[in-house]
Amino acid sequence: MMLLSLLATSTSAQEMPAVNALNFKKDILPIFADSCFGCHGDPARRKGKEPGGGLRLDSPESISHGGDAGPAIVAGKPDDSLLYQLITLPEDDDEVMPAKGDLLTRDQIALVRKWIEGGADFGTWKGGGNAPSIDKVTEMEISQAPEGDEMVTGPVAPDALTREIDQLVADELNRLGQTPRPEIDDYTFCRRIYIDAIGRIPTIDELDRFIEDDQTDKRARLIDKLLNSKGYNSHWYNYWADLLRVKNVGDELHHAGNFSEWIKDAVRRNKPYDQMAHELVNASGELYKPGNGATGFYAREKMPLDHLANSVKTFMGMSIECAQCHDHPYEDWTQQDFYKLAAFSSRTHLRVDPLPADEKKFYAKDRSILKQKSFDEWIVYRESLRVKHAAIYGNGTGFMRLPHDYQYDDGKPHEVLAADVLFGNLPELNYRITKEKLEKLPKRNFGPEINSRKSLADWMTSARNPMFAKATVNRLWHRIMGTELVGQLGGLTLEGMGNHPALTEKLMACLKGSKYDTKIFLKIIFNSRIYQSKALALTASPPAYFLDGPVVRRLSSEVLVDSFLSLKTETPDKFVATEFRWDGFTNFYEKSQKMNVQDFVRYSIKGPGRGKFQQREEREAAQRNGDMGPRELWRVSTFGRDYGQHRVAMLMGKSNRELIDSANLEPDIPQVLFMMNGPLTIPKDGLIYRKMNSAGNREEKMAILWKSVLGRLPKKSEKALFKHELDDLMWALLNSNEFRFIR
Amino acid sequence: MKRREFIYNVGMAGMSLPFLNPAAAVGSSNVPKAKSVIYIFLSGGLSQYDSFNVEVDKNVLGKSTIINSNVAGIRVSNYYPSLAKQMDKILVLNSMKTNQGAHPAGIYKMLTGYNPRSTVTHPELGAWVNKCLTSEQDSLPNFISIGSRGGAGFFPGQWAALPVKDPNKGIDFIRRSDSIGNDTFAERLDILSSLNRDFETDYSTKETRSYINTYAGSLKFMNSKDIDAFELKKEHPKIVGLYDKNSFSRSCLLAGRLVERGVRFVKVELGGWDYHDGIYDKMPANANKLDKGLSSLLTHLSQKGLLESTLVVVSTEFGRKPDVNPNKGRDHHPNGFTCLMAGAGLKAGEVYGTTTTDGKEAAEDILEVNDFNATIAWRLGIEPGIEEKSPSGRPFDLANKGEARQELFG
Repeated sequence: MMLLSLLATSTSAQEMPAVNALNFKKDILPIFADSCFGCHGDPARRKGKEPGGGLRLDSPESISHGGDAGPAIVAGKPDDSLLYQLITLPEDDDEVMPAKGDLLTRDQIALVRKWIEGGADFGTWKGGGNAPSIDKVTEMEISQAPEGDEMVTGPVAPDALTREIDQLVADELNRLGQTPRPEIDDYTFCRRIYIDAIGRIPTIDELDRFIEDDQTDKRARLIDKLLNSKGYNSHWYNYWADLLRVKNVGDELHHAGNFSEWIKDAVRRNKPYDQMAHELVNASGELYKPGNGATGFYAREKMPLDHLANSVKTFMGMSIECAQCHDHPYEDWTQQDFYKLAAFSSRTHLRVDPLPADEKKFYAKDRSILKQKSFDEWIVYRESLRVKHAAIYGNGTGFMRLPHDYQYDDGKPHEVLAADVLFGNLPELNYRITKEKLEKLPKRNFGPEINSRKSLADWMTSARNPMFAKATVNRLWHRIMGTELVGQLGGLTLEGMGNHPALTEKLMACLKGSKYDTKIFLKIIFNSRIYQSKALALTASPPAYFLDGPVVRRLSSEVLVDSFLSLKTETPDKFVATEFRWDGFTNFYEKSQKMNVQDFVRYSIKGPGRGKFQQREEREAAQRNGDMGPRELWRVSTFGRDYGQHRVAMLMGKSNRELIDSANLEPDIPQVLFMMNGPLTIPKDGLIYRKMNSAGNREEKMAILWKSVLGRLPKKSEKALFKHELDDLMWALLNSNEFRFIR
Repeated sequence: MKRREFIYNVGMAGMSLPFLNPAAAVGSSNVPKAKSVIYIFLSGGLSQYDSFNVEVDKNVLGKSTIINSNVAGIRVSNYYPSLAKQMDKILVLNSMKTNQGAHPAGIYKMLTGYNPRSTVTHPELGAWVNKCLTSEQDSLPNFISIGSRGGAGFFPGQWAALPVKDPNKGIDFIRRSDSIGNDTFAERLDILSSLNRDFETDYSTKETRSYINTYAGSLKFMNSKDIDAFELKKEHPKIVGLYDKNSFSRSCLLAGRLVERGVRFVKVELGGWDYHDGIYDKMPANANKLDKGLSSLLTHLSQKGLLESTLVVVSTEFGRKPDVNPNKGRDHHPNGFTCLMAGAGLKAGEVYGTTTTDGKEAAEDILEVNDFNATIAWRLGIEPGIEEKSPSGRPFDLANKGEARQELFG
């Protein structure tokens, strides 16, 4: 409870980024409820009177369906949306809406515009007249979910949940006749929690401060402090960026900057994970628009079916990619199942160039003139237009067609399939054409859009979907305990609950109960006796039961590299961003909003060449961002888009983000040669040297060295090593397994 | 331990012993004619009509002119005067075809045989060769990539290429810094073993031991006599004198030295071929590099008697269009392009396959990427259909169903 309020203050105290996603229920529904439902609401509440213009605005379906004059809203395009046109007419126009009562304020109009621009997402709103507060809604929905006894509906009490989890494990150990592993000392705890919560070892000052603290609740307080620090933002950004595979694609897409800013913003604001996933699956609109970086998740993939397989693996921990081409060999999924699921997002696609109509009307002539004139100018023209126009289009038609080479008896090639989920309840879809009718249309036709992709996002992230919580629990457990709780990260099954179903169930309830607040979930585990037990070295043949402590494992590449910062400076997290950072593409996107057709031509002539165009925009972006500090004091999370890959981190096995979970913890020759012979420079005026220089005697110096690098005091047996030169000892400690592994 | 054993036991990224798949070996009737491959990759897309496919309509050739070679009936473009004198060693493949028209996808397809997917990464051909042919006797890694990386795909990382960024410098950080003397280094290692021994008593895992092994392997690698293969100045001056000083030539020299020590697959990358504009201003310098470097390499291998056992491959992700665009460049063209092979008992001094004379399509004896890769594997004695499973259990074969074109060999 204390943490909840703590988190709330820290979040609101943070600077809000330039653009944030709107929440329909919170931001838009009250406007509609106050100003529109009077005439465009439920006839039952209006004594049976038909709604004005045949238009109802009291459910997502009716808004999409529209009234006599057609759809009320065109997602992404306020100026083409009838509703927006009518609310922005002059006050004296006969058509202006609302026809009764006050006109909307300028702020309200701006909100509606922003909401439509952002894809007119209804969030969790299913329809209905009033606009209760968002918290109440979520609580209601969760408590309505038929989840059984484990469902936590009241406020979350992390301390109690920690105790319940420890009790579950203790009972299980007792049943198995195993004694619990010993509890770790403060030194070990301090190093471990710094690594797991904020992704680096503690500086010697941080370690000393914790050791000197003589209060009994000091571990819990440190956990809270770290979960609310900038270091947390850096460390957990790395995690989600790997999972979501943030990366530019070829020459065509440079969306990684905007995508990574979106993730960073979500982590800073501790966005509930279900909401985060929902926004990713349902993202649409322009790629480089600040705040719309969630589109990067879809843009990342050229092939829609691969994207679907990856979404399922990312958020539900299941591998269904086999069923893309044939029935899954050892699971239940058939190729038809896969295609039915794909129907939700059918026709969703990335387009990097302006729409054909716009192209023809505005740009085609200049494009061909420039092409004849100069390759460099032509390519700047193309690229600059792409920055403005690249977008995710389509929100699903709810229909899919079987592939041309479909090989089973239960369907024919190109046969139309209606959307269906793999399990659970099929969300209601508002079809505008029947399957039979579509069947008669040409085989490239998939039907009109009906926003079915949103239904897919609803289904995936719903509290009723057991896989979403299970996969998330499994992932987070793996991340901090070093081993999977339920099963392979991408190989879970509907039935499988792992070797400890009660624990899995309890943790799923914790996650749901916290409304997918990952900080609360981590707090529950970090405070537990299991987490604070002596680490287990997995031997070649693991014992049947090893859940009573974390597993000895190598530090991730980023943690390893960031830990060098803890030796260099008192403030290793100083340059972690606290607000949106511009890159050349988001910067130009913003400029392009004010550019007309001729401006693009002039801009291209300023040329020359794509490289120069990017450099120019990057320079401007860098100026907007202001001082970011010296690179050698950046954490790895700051690198990796326009600043280039972090070379040492790549060498240490950082994920290349081609695939999910592809970071590497194995040694290889180049990595080891670098550690032995490379420039592992801690400058002579770095923290660790300053500390040692100010120490009185050899013993003190050695204590500082050991505490700084290994997070503990030297053992008696190690005193024999004190005779060696400082540099030689430092080399050996940095190359040692104890430094490289978490214990 | 004999020095040739170490790399096998501990140096290969410290993993457990590589498993040798007996199915990899082709039956005894097909005795492999190539021990090694030098795979020169021209990233960006070589213009076939400004190099080795010149028997097409005159307007397709752009500004290129035709010169005779030392083989009657084989002519090349004027940008390759040195290779023109060595065409008797080369088999020209003029009917290559791929299904990828963008660089990253095209490169991926050429190097792995598969279309890029985001659910799995495929091993490069070099990684397959590494995995199939590595044996206890080997003193150096069997996949070395000069100027680029070479990915292991879904194979364990140990089968990825050992990268060499700069042929003049060799392996990064292979030497300890000059300020660290022998004794100091030995002292450091002593401290390190003492720390690691201590840690092992409490926390020994497969991974901790793997690090200890890889340190041992790397140390032996640092001290190995074969490491001088990476030192170009150790080569005989007569051989060094065959090459000029530019980086691609030096990479070829290094590749020659490595196959002489038995390395199975050496990849050398020469990029920069993506001339969408001003091709006749920009391309000659790059063509000159290829012309000099490759012809020096062929002479080098012949003089050392290595050409018979080395398959030299020159490939690119796709070719360039038959028409020169308004910017005086050529755009991407996957439908018919050119690769080269030399050595290893090939029918050298011949041309295989054609394009239509308007240059638009591969015409006779079309050679798809999969068959191209299958041919290389087959000549090394590896069954092109050999399968490995990805971590999720999906089976993939080396050549992606490709079949070896055995008729390319005499």
